[in-house]
Amino acid sequence: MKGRALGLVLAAALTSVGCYSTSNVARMPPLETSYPVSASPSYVSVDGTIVDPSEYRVVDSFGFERQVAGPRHTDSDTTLHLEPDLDRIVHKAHGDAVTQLKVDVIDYDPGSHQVSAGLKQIGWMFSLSGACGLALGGAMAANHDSDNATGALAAGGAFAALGLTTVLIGSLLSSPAHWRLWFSGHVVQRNEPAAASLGAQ
Amino acid sequence: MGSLAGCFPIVLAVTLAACATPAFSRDLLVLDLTRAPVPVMISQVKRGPRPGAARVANEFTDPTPATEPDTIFTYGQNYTLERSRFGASEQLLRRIGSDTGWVQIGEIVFSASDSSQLGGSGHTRRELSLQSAERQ
Repeated sequence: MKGRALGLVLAAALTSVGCYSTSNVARMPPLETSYPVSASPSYVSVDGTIVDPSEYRVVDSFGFERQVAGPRHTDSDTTLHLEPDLDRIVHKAHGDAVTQLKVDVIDYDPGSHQVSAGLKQIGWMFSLSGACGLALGGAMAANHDSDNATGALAAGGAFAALGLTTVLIGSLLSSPAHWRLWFSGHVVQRNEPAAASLGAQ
Repeated sequence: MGSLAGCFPIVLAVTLAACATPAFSRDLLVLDLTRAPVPVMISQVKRGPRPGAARVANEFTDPTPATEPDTIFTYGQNYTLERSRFGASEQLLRRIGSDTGWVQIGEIVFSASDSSQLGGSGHTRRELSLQSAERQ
């Protein structure tokens, strides 16, 4: 009966310490800019008309990287604000819209999630095994079985020490997970109406 | 005791090897709508063409592809290498019909989750989801 209870406690302990998760969310709500930003070649202008590629010229192209980091074994949710970067780029180029905004995932690095989780799991397994060895050794010593008690206590102690050291090492590995995103696009300037009509002719 | 302690490096190596994260296809997670035949706006349009009958934003979950109405654009992957057939951008482009005037992108979400369970099993998911509303 005692053995069964000990097994249940051990299983519950292993389950609770054996699961680690890291979640890293990068969200980008609709941009709040004073100029239009489209992912397509055409765009909807501030006055509500649809502007096709023939009605504007590209004055600059850009690309910049943003990283979104999240601590390992934690859920993180980050909202990206691209407006300051885009404002600077658009004003510098004297443009009045951004077209073909593209987002590439350069990489997603889970950081030390996997290694840290693996070390912690194995460490807890060894620690709990060591604790069982120590408990068994203690019981043997209480029953005056000193020969076996010494071996069990030594093995239990070694396992517990090894396990706790491994857990400690796993806990020290804390590189964050991160998205690496690359944003690129064109800054455009709408043609003058006269030039546009001439172009159409 | 020596032999018991000796198994530690082996167990450790096996556990860590089992924890390795599978590679994911970056091409499915790219937001590339440069082939869109209509404006796809990422900035909030305040005075656009009359919204008319806007189809509501969609939610998408993997592994359901674009066969379900109002589906989502999601890509996911786990240790079984399950993945969407098409990327989010491709799925959105396929939804643009001849009656679509322009598209308002609601929210772009890149999400990643990794979980590791005891014994080396786990789940890894990389996902791009887009919310969009089509305007006529």
